[in-house]
Amino acid sequence: MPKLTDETLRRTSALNLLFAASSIGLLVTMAWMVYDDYSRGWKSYQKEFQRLEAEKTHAQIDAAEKALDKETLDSLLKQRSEAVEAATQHAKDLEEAQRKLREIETVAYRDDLGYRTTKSTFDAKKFDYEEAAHRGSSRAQQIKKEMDELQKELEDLRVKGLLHEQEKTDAQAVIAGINGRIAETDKKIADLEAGVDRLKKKLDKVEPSGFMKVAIDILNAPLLDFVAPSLKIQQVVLDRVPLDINFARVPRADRCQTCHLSADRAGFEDAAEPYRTHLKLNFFLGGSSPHPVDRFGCTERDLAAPHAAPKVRALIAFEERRARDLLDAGAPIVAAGTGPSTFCTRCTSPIRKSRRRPGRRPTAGSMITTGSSRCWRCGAPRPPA
Amino acid sequence: MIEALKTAVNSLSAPPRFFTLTVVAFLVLLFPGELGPAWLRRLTRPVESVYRPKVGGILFAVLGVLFLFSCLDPNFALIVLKPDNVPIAGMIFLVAFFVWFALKEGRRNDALRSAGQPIVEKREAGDGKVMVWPDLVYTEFLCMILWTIFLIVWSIYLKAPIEEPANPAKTPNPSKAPWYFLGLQEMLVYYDPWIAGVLLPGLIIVGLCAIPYIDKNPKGNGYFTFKERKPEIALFLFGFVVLWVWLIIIGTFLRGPNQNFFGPFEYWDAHKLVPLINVDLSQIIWVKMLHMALPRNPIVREIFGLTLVAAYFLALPPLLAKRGLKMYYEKLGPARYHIMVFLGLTMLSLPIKMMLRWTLNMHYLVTVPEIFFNI
Repeated sequence: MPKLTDETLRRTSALNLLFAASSIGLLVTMAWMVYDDYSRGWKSYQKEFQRLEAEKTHAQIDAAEKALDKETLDSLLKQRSEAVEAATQHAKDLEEAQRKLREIETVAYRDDLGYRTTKSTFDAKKFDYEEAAHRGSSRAQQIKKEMDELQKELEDLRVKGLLHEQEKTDAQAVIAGINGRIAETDKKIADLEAGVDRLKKKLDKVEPSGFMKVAIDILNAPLLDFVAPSLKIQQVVLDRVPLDINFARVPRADRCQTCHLSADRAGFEDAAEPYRTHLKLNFFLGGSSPHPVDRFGCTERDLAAPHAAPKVRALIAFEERRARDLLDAGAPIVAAGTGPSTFCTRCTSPIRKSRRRPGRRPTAGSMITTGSSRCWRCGAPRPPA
Repeated sequence: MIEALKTAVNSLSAPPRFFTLTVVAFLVLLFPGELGPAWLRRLTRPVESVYRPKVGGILFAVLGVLFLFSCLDPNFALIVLKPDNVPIAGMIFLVAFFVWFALKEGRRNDALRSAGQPIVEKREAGDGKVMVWPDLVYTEFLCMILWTIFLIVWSIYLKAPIEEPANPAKTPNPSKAPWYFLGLQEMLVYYDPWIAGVLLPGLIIVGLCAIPYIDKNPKGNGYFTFKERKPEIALFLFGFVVLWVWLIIIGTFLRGPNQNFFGPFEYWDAHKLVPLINVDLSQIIWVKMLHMALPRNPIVREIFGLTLVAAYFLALPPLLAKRGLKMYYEKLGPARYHIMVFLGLTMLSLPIKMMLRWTLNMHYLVTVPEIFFNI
């Protein structure tokens, strides 16, 4: 064993070993940290859903293509080839017209650049003149003269611009005369295939390929996924269901849709959970239902999950029971705007505290009752407040 | 007479003139009687006398009197005596004084050395020792007390420029960065935000960090000198005084409503209109000179600008290594040399772009709005 001296209190070779081991340890721990941060259970659900949606879109495209009116399409394609043939007979004229249009556009661009420059200079000169005239400066007349010259120039350029517009329209008319039928049939074909095209565009988004796929993979890569990942937590913030933490009321956030990606979308009724469409989409979650997901989050049953306090759970269970009764009776749970907040459990008439004295019939406008403990319309007992 | 003088000053403060004057004054003051042909050297040699304490003192006194006299003008006073701007007016004098002082001391030492005498620092140090207490700490302590008194009195007389609560519907015009960032804000006028706001500030910091590794000249440690470090001092002062402090002065005193330029004696009229007639290099060449439409392919369209920029950054350094900066190439070696030249060219690209804007109304040399890329 080497002697321990002042210069080296410990053995350097041993320290080197320790240094190597600890460096590797640090590297492994860092990699572990990144992996642990990156690997989240919900990501696999989202990936699986992307696959599911792509599959569905493929099927839809197949169906749409089968449903295409082949006869019309064929006749349109025939019309198009005829139109192309007719146009080729005037190929020289077309080329000439297109060359002319390009020329006009070039000159128009240059003159427009000149117009904008002159206009800007004129505006500034006008300001100078107004300032000078206001101060009664002797230079005002000189500036006015320059301004007038600029205005003449500006007017010339403006007229030139209008002439260019006219020339452009003429040239375009010539081109349209030759090419018009092709464009017309092209549009008809595009209209016919619009449905398929829309689905194909959707597929590009759902199942990106080529450069987009690489780009999205980079955006989802570990350590880079803070920028704009496509796999991310989906949440709605619910102002009306706050968490009370004594000193503040914090809005609750529903993140159910991170995995239940299509709970609010029709078309996934047969899919396995967690992707299945909500069973009562017309009442819950759907965009046109009284409880759209972005305002109400998930259903009461979901909110009554075991992490809530017993009192809250009891309240939600009551609300749910009441909502179920009302729904079975066919009434909306919440009327729009500042309407009544409760309904009769039997006849679903809205109930609101009346301003009139009890005992008198409600007027048609108010259609409201009470004071008493029974429904004004059917006499059923009122639900507890 | 005074009105005519004010108009003349206003007209001289228009950016191209003011900038040219600043650069000329910078070169003449730094190298009096050293640059240009013989007649110019003869003409500028007397400027050397400003580094004599008496002449310098008189010069600063005259500048101070001119400044105070200018404060009689309501438009000048309104901007300069705004509580936010008072420290910057003070800063102009402080920067000028300390640059003058350092150059004066440097020149004195250079003269002593060429006369074969010991330099000032050596004479002052005597036997080589100065006591920390009381020579240093005591004077520092006194400075601290006096400075605190000054700051307290200042804060009593000039109220903190705190304004009403921010209102997104009524933003201040002009909207200005804090004074120490006004140089950066001024760059935004000439460059695309990603260059002026990200690339250039980043390179400024990187460049400042790189100075000790690039600058191999060991002279000037612990004493004032100018002769032994002329290019180093000139380059640094150009970056600091002209491209940083000058831009701050412009941004503070001469940029008014709508970021328009106003002379120091001009009223800040929010309705002032200036012609906005900037054009891109591609428009100048393709449309105005070649009478052609702009090509659709962005690379073809911007080929001239791209070539210029590439030549500036890629062809110029090796060229300079052979001629002009050959001495530095040999002294520093290729790695250091190329880093230094790249940083220097980047620094110089700012005044070049400013001049292009002022003289040719050049908007961008290269503009590819398709990918938000503009130079």
